[in-house]
Amino acid sequence: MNQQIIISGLGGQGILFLTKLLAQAAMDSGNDVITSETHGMAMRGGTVVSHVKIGSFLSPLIRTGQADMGFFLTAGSFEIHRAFLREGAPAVINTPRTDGPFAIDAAAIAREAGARMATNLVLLGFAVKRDLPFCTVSIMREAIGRLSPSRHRQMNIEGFERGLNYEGGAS
Amino acid sequence: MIVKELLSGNEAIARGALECGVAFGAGYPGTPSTEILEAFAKYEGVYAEWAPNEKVALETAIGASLAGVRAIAVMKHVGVNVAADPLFTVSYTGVRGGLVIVTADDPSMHSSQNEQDNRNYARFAKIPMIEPADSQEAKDFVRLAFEISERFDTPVFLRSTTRVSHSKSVTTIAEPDKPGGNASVLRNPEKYVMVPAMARLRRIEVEKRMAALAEYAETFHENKVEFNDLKIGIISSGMPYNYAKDAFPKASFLKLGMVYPLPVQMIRDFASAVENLYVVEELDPFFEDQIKALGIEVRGKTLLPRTNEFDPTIVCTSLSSGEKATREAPPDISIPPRPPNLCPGCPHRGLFYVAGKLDAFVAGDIGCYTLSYMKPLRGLDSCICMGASFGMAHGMSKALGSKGKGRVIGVIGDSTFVHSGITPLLNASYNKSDALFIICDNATTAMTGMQDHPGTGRTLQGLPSYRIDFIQLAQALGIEDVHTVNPFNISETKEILKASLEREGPSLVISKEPCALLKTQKKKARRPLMVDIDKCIGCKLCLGLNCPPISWKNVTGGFDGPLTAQGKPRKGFAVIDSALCNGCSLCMQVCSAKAIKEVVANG
Repeated sequence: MNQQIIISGLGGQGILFLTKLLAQAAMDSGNDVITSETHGMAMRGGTVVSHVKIGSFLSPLIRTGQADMGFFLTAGSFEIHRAFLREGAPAVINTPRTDGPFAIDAAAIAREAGARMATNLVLLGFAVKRDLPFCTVSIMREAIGRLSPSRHRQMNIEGFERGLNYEGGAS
Repeated sequence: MIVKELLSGNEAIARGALECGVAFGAGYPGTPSTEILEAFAKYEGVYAEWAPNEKVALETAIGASLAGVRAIAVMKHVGVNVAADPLFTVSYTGVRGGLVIVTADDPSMHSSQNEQDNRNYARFAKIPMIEPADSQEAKDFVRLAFEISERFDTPVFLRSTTRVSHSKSVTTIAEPDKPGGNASVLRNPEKYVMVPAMARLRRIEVEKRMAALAEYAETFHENKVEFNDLKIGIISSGMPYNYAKDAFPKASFLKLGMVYPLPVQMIRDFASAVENLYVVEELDPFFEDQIKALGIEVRGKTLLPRTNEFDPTIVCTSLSSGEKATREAPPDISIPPRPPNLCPGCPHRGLFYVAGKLDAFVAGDIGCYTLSYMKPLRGLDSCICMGASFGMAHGMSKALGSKGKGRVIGVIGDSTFVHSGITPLLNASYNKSDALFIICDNATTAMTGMQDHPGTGRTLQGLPSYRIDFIQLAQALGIEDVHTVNPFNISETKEILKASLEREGPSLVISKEPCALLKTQKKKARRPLMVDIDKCIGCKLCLGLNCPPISWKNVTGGFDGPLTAQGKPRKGFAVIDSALCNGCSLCMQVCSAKAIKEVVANG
């Protein structure tokens, strides 16, 4: 299968970890995968974008209008990088204004769960539950368990489960 | 059993070095190259070290090569400038054990001060260069590079770019070769002593070698022709090949694994087989100029930009339309831009808050602190290259003479000071400078991700080692006036900076506080701060720190709060996001209304 995923947010929001999880899940489900990330000075709180391409691709970068879905860690990031999405592609957005089909106040949910730093995982759980990325819940759950540093494992799993169980917003 | 792993280009280069028996690795951290040596050092049975700078890294690798082992020197593109002196002459001496120099270029300057195309170094220094396009090739090409190095008695460049270094793709892992225990002392002054008489002889060997390599390039198996639709023929290498191949899967390709020297006959044959010939290369028209010099008609930079890295969109649209591609304008949206900023709790913030308010030119350097040039801190006025600050401050102070009295400062980080700030500080004392020199010592190489250096007292492996003492060093260099300040204490920092500026002769101030992101610092939890909105008079002084957790809320409609210093109703108040705040207290110190206090637990 081929799926191109764009992940956008600010330095420190866990974009790289989300990228790592999706890549691991892709390999665990028997797919080829290429990812591309931002490092160095750009990470000091600046805008960060990551590309994940699952399937038979050579280039790690996604062409404008070709992404099959997107994770956006802020509403502003969505405005900046929405052009990557093909028409009608689902955009999973962390925003207090949950008026889009896949908009969710992931930060608030993470905060409530005492897992403030797992906003990215809430967003991921929400998307996986709705079959937006290529992988199954169990493969992703296992990837989170394996890739999380031990001190954050519980928080990450909690965030992911909260996202999975979120009932509001989209269906 | 075939083992596959998802590796970044950098991790793959490290793996390749392990697999082909590299015994010695040295480098200096620099985006996008840093992770190569970090990954290599984690393998057992190899030796790796951070050098104080790239010149030393290359020289140590040359030494290891002359002892008979395979050695690798790793650096970012501008690091090769620092290492250029040994580079141009090791091209003459050749090697003993294989010697490979990794240059990680940074098209688009994601984290660099310039966008130089280091393929030019291959031609300039007469050293062959190979360039992988993904992680599998990155791993495999390391072995090829060493084979070429030993076969042709030459150092070899392995070129990566940010997009190859930091993309991850599935890579097949192999068992490492048995490390060769062939290190020995072998004296051969005729080959390795480059006095003019002998250099003249080696000079001839260099030309013979490059001719032999040009011939080898014709059959080098990573120079690949893929004939398909003959209407379009594309010559490319590295990451741009992937963009072109994804955009035009049916076109014919000549993918160059060796970017210097070029396989001239192969290019002629390919050009004559296709109807329209294109070169897809980032940055300089390096292939294009050489191909045109062969009298071959080709299109490249008339269609594709010379600046910034490519992406699949730009390659697709320019070649399809036959018109010069223009980059898409950023979307017209009304959200504030998010440039990178100093972290909450960053010790540089206090220092540059003070420095920016002095009536002085602050010559800056390379590191996180360079970000303090931005408004509102305006903490420094120049940034050229590693180590430039101290030399520039001295030169400016001499040029200004009495007009520069108390108005010239040079600021450098601890890792950058060790890299190339020591000699300019010696120069400042020797030539009786009148500038103020500041080392902002945060006890790490922060920008590239917390690497150790001689000033931290730990090695690349994190093991304890000798820790250079900057105060003793400065005194040995002849700087008599040395002070240490705590940059989280604004009034103390201001006082010492002012006194040192006014003093005759060179002064050194060490602004000493560890980086907030160091693990040892993270453990020292400080309580986050908050603004008492019943006390905040809306003077905005705290906003002048440009600290990420502090923001401004406008007062809308009849808010009943304290008056401003001028006795007028305040227009708004400051708020601190306690989730981000590190409790460093700088905002408390600048607050004119004593409105900032610690968050009370469960309050």
